[in-house]
Amino acid sequence: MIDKSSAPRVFFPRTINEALELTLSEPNAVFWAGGTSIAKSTGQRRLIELPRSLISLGMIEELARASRSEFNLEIGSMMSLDRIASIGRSALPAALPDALASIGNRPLRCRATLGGHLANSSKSADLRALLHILDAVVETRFLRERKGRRKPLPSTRKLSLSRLDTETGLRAGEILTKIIIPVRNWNYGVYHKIFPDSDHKEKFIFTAVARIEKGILIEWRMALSDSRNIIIRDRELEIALAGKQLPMTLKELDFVDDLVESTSAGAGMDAYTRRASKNLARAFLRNAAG
Amino acid sequence: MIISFYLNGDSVEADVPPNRRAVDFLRDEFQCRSLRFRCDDAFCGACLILMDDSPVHSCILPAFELRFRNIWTMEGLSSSKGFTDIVEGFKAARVQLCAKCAPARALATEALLRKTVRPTAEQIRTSAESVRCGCSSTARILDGIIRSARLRERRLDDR
Repeated sequence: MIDKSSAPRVFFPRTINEALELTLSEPNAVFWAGGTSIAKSTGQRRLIELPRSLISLGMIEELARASRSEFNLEIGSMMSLDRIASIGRSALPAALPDALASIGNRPLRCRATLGGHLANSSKSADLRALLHILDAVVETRFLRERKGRRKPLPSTRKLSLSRLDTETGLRAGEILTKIIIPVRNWNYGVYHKIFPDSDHKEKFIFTAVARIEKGILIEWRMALSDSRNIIIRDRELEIALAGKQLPMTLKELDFVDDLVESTSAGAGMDAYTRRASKNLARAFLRNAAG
Repeated sequence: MIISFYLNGDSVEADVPPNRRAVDFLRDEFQCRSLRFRCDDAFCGACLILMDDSPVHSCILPAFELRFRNIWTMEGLSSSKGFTDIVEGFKAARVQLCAKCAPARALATEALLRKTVRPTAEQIRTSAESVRCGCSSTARILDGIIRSARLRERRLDDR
């Protein structure tokens, strides 16, 4: 027998403003995107453990659109990972299709949304490192506060991913509306997700993108991520290699090894991940040469 | 909470706690016995349904998410014309699926064929990975999906 009195209340706003206004009457309501992380943690119980009050964002069409301009690719926060992947490799930034394909299986990607993925406070969110090196920012909407009282005046702000991860990130009642990725000519990119242990509990992510013109590495970026560190990035290394002719000399690759070693060791990575980082950075720069 | 949605082409309505698992709800209220609840973690795929033509795990789907959606389960798919493409395709590839994964495998293949009848190798592999069961070889399953796609394309061309 199921006790209906303990069932959560669910609201289905059709616009972002409606969703924001609902937070005035339901201050403890939680925004519901794909819900995969909440539902997965319920275990064998008959009912899925949900917050007492939910605002489902699934009916808001504005949040489920993508558009591309000369400068940016804008992805609505409620677009599922599967729908983003179906935009196509040619229209997505380098390495993003591989990163999307590495998350769960297709049924899971059909439910999981990009906004939910980023709003989730888990450090191991798979796409963060890549979106960070692509200079992605998130746009949020909230009701403006004045003298301690909220007025129903929706405001917008943009946040970098690093700010989203800190305490300055999403506030209560704030909706992540879109993810904006600048369109730049990255013409080579890789994304690797490695599980060092057989139990697949810990993961390590290596991702890098590069712009190569006429055999010259014009610009490149690399980021590492593991369960202890959201994003590790060495800007000194990125600057040092910009403008180098490809393929690189052994001396230059040894220099890359040294810098990757010191960066990953400084971040507290274990011997296996440090070695993997060096090998993947070398492989990236070798394969980037074509 | 009263929700209405389309189930296997029919409009239906039911009173359900919003946090009830869709897999239990569809099995108990609508006799969708092809749905299985094995891993509870969106891992095995035995609870697969088509929601607006996308394959999703009904074990992690709260019932309120079904609202206004178009849901297909094996019970509806098996009486559709397209089902024979999948049966014949898998038969030609000599795939012998077990009772636990066969409905989910057919739904995952149907989801792919509704998207495209000329799937890429990556799309075929992704579709095969939607269901995890060791009853048949991956190579044969991939072959079964390819053959099903060819049969579907031929049938659509003949119209």
